[in-house]
Amino acid sequence: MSRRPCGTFDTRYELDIAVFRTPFHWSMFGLLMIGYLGLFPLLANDGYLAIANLISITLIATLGINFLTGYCGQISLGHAIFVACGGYISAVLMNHLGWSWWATLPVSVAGTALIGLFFGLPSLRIKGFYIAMSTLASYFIISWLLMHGGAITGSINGLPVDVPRIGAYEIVSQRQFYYLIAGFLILSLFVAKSIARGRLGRVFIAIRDDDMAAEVMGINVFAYKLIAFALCSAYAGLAGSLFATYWGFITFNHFPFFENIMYLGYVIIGGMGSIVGSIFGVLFLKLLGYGVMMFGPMIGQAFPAISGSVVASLLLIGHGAVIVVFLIFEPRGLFHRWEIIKASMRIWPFTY
Amino acid sequence: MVKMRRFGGWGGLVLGLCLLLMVPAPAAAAEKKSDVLISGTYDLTGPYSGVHQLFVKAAKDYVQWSNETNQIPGVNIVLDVVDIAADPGKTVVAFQMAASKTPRAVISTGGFASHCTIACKPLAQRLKIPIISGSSPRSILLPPGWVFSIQGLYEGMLGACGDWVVANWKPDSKDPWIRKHYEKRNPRMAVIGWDNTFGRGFDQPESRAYLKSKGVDFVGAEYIPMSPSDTSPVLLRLVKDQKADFIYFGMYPSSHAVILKDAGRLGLRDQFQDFAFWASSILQVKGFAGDLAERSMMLTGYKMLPEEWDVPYFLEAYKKSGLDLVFGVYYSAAVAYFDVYGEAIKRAAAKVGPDKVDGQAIYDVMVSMRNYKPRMFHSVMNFTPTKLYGPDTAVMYQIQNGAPVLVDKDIYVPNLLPGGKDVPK
Repeated sequence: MSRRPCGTFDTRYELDIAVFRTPFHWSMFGLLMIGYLGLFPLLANDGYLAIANLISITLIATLGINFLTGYCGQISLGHAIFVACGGYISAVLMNHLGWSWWATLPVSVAGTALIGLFFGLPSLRIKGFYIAMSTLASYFIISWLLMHGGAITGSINGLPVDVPRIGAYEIVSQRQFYYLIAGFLILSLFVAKSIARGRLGRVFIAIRDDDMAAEVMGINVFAYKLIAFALCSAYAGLAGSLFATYWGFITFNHFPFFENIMYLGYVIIGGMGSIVGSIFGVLFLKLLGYGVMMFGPMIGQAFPAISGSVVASLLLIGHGAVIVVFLIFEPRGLFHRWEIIKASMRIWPFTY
Repeated sequence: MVKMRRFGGWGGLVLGLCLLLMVPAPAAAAEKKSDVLISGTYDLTGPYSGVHQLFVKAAKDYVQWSNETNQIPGVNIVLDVVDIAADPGKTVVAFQMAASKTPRAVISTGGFASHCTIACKPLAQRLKIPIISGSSPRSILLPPGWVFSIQGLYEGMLGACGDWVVANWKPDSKDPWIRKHYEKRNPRMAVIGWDNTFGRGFDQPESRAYLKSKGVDFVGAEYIPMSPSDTSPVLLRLVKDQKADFIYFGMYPSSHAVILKDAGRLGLRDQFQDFAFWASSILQVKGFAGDLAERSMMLTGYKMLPEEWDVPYFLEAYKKSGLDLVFGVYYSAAVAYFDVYGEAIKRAAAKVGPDKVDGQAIYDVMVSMRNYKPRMFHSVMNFTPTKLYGPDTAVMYQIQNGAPVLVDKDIYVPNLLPGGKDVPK
């Protein structure tokens, strides 16, 4: 049997939480890896590799906010600035202490986690929209500090960031960055999936669904909320450090306020509280954005009566419309749609 | 009779062939042109879209004019317009795409926003495609890379306005406002800027030192959001408390107008003289703020008045578009940018051949470009491998009786980058 037949139930917890349950799953995973690590980087040009690199880094950051918002139910409106913190920590250590990028990476992850932990402290007293406002404050406080950090943060001028080196070998090209970022993405996904399936993930879900009930069950809600903030920020730190070395430069202008909303958007569109949902959300919105960028001018050339800028605007409106339609017809996100497709495949050719 | 007809048929054929040989060969057969790609990354749907859409119109007009009139022998310029929506990530992707195309791009506009251009700075050097843009903060120009700016230096703009103030701060000044407000003391100057890399780029230690060395008292810098709602505290601090006479506005017209309106409400408009940013438009400020923009000044290299435009083709194209002349300064600016691109391609084609023009060839001619005066532009361009911004001089416009007037020419824009030759020792 290649797929799980209808009516087959798990008899042990290990089976219930297993990611790959059948040989079919393993073969699909193998094919995906061959495509992701083998075929795509060989066949794609640098432009498509750049898209893949930026999507992958964004996905790492989104995995973080998915823990905080999707699993633990704490709305964050300041995720972009935690990503910036990760990048700045690497940049400051490289510029002022001469560290290599590799050495800055763990400090960046741990440092951003600590900053996240600090800004998660108000969750002791407040929740819901109020915690959203407190994370919003973190965005403005940290961006002010980065802007006025003088020579330490480069102030308005930002800081240059060197490329990663392994001995004399430099990671410079898009293809080299692709493998580096892909490595971190796979590791991040593995860790995220492990956490989500484990005790910590279940605690997060319990807090999200009813924090009072969770507390009655003996869960230290405040401590776990702080862990969620730290975990979310650690992922942001990793993504920020990757962004900094990939761009070769960091300035607070790279993290506009709108990015905070987009990170929430990835989680909501993909499906809150789902790792696969995060992947779908980032892929869907990012590819839609790049599609608008790449195909707008082509449509403009095909229909010269309409200027390229008008086409770009129309596609942008379409981008917004797709999101609205999605929220109306599939509020549980792309992940839910994926579950429906999988279920229908399982019982195919029957309809029920 | 039959023979005659046959002869007539052959004769007609020979005659026709002779005529065909006499007809001049079509242009395509006479010269095969090589395509040279310019990657035009613009913000067509983001915060800069109002200006950038005009840039695209001008860029397309320039390319059409250049190709039609054979400005660059053997070269057909191809412009690839991409909307990056002021997103650094999209700018990086568009840059990489341009590097992967056939033919490969030889020049990129770099997104025309400081934070987008800076995201591509390492790539430009790595992929050997120069960015020729309009952003000139020091983080882009230093350390010198493959990013050139056709705009004056931000710090230098403030210094140049300071020079103008010193030259005109006298009881018999030609400026009526100075005559009215002149006192025997140093003139006082301040900055109000947008709270971002661009807006904070004017007030630097070097520009403060320069103003001090010229006898201008710098009394402070204040920063406002890109969409300000109430700037009264800023005005009260700078104008009422610090008594600034001259204020440099590091922002675009909509915000400039809000400040003038607030100053009008507070009764402070007559207390200070304002300078608009190089790539702003005092005509547009006047459109937003009305009479409050009377006597507003603007230090720039662009030709604001259509009667100054030196290529009739562009004036006709602009008039045909039906756009208000208020926006003419943006159009002329973009034509000037493209004229520098065109000149660089022309020089590179002459040096390496039209079919061998690449990013390296463009970089080589750009760093050796001296005293080139682009069309639709007042200043001349001077680049070196370490000085990557072009203009060293500018002109001053002022709104007088509701219309812009050119009040001064050949104003020196000092080099106030760290270690620059005009930084006071």
